[in-house]
Amino acid sequence: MVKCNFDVATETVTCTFEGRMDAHATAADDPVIRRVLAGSSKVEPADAPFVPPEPGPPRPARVIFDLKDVDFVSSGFFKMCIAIAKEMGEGRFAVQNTRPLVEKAFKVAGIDGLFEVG
Amino acid sequence: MMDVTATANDYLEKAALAAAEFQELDQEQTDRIVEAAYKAGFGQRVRLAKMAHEETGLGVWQHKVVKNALATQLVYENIRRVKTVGVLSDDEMTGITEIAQALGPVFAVTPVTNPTSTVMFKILICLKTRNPIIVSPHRRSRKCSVEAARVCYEAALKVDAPENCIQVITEGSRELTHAIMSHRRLALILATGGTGLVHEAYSSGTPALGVGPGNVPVFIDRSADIPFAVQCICASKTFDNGTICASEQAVVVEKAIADAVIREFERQHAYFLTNEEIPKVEKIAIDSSTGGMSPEVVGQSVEAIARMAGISLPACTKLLLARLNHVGKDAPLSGEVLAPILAFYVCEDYDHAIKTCIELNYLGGIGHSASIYANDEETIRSFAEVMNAGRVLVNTPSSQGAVGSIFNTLAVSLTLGCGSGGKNITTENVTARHLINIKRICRRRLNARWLALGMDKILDESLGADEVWRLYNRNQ
Repeated sequence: MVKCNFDVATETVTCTFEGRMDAHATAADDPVIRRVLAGSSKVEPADAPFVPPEPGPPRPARVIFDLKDVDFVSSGFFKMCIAIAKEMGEGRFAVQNTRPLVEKAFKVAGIDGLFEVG
Repeated sequence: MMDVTATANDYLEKAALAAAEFQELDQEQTDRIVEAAYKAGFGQRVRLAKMAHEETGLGVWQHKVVKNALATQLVYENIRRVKTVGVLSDDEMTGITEIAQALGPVFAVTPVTNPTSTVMFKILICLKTRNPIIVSPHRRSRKCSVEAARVCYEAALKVDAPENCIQVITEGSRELTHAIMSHRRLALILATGGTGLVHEAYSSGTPALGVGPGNVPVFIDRSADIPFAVQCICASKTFDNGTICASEQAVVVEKAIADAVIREFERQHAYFLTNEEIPKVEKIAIDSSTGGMSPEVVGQSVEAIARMAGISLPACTKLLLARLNHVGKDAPLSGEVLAPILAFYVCEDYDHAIKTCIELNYLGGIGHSASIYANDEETIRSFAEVMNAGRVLVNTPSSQGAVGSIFNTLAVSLTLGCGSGGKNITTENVTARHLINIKRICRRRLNARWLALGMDKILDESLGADEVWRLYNRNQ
């Protein structure tokens, strides 16, 4: 399960993933991240009925995906990255600490130009 | 003004007649022509190298002699025993007989950086495959390219080669190039040159074998023999002042061995540019309007580069290194520069170093070549796994290694395929075997198992793949 850490000083959310980010893992993590980005700290299961978000940290100014412990990314994960990058706006989303094989996957997908991958 | 259509027709009509005559030659006659052209070209290797250096002002004439020797002697040695006429193979078991067919007229575009060697290389592989060749030299090296072609052609004629089997465009223009490339009688374009030219060849509608740009990263691993690695890199990058597209463009090392590598480079007369000097070299090495390398700096010596940049160098400097900390358009020297200038990266750890190599590889050299110095097989394999390169050169000077034959058993070639990453059809070193059509006589050999299965099983939609597979293998 993804861990999201909100740094109030920089208004940055860092989401740390681990293992294989296949379609299943991405689908499980996506709603969690959505809720964090919407400004709610409450984490609900993906199939939970929608309830209005509780007050939490404010909407972040920047989102970072930390992939230091990720050894596989699926096309679903790429789609999630693209969607969040678009939602956040230019320069406000980045992927960091990729392993070489994962970095190459971003290159091959041709989406490393849409946001920072490092 | 030249009537380009009429001129193109004239070249192609002559080439078509030569192609027709070529069809009548057997392997022995063909090989005799190739041998004559090789010997003539090899015999003139020094004169042609000096001509090329004088006309273009690029590189080192002695190194051009080596290139000419490689493009004739080693190419000849590499192709001499290859069968390119008649039956190539005949397999009774499979019932397949393979027969070589010539392609027809080949249009060979040649670069200013290797103006005589590439001409002779392409002539030899075309003659070997009985394809007439029309050479289109770069405008800045026309005189020496024409002379290289003339030397080979006259020698070929003496052993009864077809008239006009080698033609050269002596007065070229963009319009004529386009007219020939798209001519209905042209069989193939051998496009060695810049991206624009290769793209034009691919867009012409005629099949083309092209090349892609390079941006070769060289990774020196902890397991490498550092003095040996540095010696190879210096020899490779300074060869003909860096004009070979497979030459190293950036050295990448881990922090743990960086000091040792730097010391070794300095010991071997490489000079690390200061932070103040790097922008001065960038300014003259990179064309700010295109972001690509400046033609003015290509193939120039370090002394000439220093003069242009207005910097002074220690005596005996033979290579310039620019220490950079990131890769991209905003770090101009991280891109390809065909001159004795190398980018140098010090990385925190192995993963960071490999990621830097990936960045360099994808910045502008996808599919071309990558280089590693290591004595650990697992490191070599993991590096090769993440590089998008037609050639991953191990413990080898990349410029001499990529062209084949000297440091490895790759086919010797001056046209290095870069695969789909470089918008090419092959990652191989282009050689004679790429210039023949293979016709296959396919004799009747019944697939008894398939026929025994029966059409009723195939037509029965209730049977899935597993059930049909079981029936297919029953009693087999």
